[in-house]
Amino acid sequence: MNSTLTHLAMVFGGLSLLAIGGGSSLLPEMQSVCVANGWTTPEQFSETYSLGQVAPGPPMTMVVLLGYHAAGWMGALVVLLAFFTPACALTWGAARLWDRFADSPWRQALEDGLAPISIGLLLSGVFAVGQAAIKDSLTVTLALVALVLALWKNPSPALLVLGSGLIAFLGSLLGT
Amino acid sequence: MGLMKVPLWRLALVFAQMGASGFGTSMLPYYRSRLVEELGWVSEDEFLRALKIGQALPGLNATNMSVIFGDKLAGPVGAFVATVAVLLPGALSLCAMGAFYLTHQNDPGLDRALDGVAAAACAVLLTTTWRLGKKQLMSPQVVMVASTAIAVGYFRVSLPLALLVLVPISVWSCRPKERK
Repeated sequence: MNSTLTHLAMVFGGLSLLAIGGGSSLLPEMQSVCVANGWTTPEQFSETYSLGQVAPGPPMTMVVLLGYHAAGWMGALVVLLAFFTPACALTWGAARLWDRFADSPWRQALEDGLAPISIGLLLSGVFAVGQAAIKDSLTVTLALVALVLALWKNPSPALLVLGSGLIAFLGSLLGT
Repeated sequence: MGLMKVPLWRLALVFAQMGASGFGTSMLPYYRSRLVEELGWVSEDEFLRALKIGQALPGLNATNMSVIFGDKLAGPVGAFVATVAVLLPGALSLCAMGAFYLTHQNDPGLDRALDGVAAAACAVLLTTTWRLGKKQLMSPQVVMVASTAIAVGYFRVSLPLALLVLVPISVWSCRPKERK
């Protein structure tokens, strides 16, 4: 078996089980690993993440494209399987046992204790993606406008992201 | 929670349709309106229970919940079918976008469009972080939030190591109060 594929399977399979509080908490680690292995550049990583916002379904499905960058279509397939199988299998088993622990006081402690860590990871994800994505006056402006709109009007994230892409595209037509 | 038999093709169709029309954070409200309100396949209590489990366990909330609902509606095969179905539309469109992107890689217009998309995606992520984390950011737990963000974001501590150190500290600080 191709060694890149094995490596991809191990990395994404492992990441899958570390995703506390949702998939986005993995962004900083995923970016470090992809860049360190030469699978993507930081810019490609940010772009791939953004495409995930524009595609339907859960945004973290974008891992298929990371696999594609690393090892073509086989890479995409391997990453998709590796990233979703372990966590789904764990959920399947744990959900059947859940009610037995539903009233344990430690379950609440676990939830309360994990929450601030997943928020901290999300923050470092913003930092990881933003460092590559926000690089000139146009992207600073677009990010700030998007932030204000998102907090104020709460539009659909996909619309916001597409709108910003469209403005940048039109800007490039005018600029050249 | 009794097993309810929904035909697999029906299950696949409903989840694929949700996977094709839900975006980002709207996935979960969408599950609710479709499965609880429109189809009546899942009760309100079952939905909340699945949401809790989905958030507490590692993995994506949307796929964790598709596993739980699929299992309830059509057994282990149902869990598999529902999860594949909810991921497939997104995975296929991403592959199409990826292929398009690679053949137009040197197009300056497309490059710029992606810059714009990425800038707004950061803003969306920051907004989500604020909405989910308001409670933690406005309480003493903000210390834990900041330690995690600085360790992983600034010092680039690897995630397994960071979790190994931070999770026990954080959970211990939230340990159940002794009751008499």
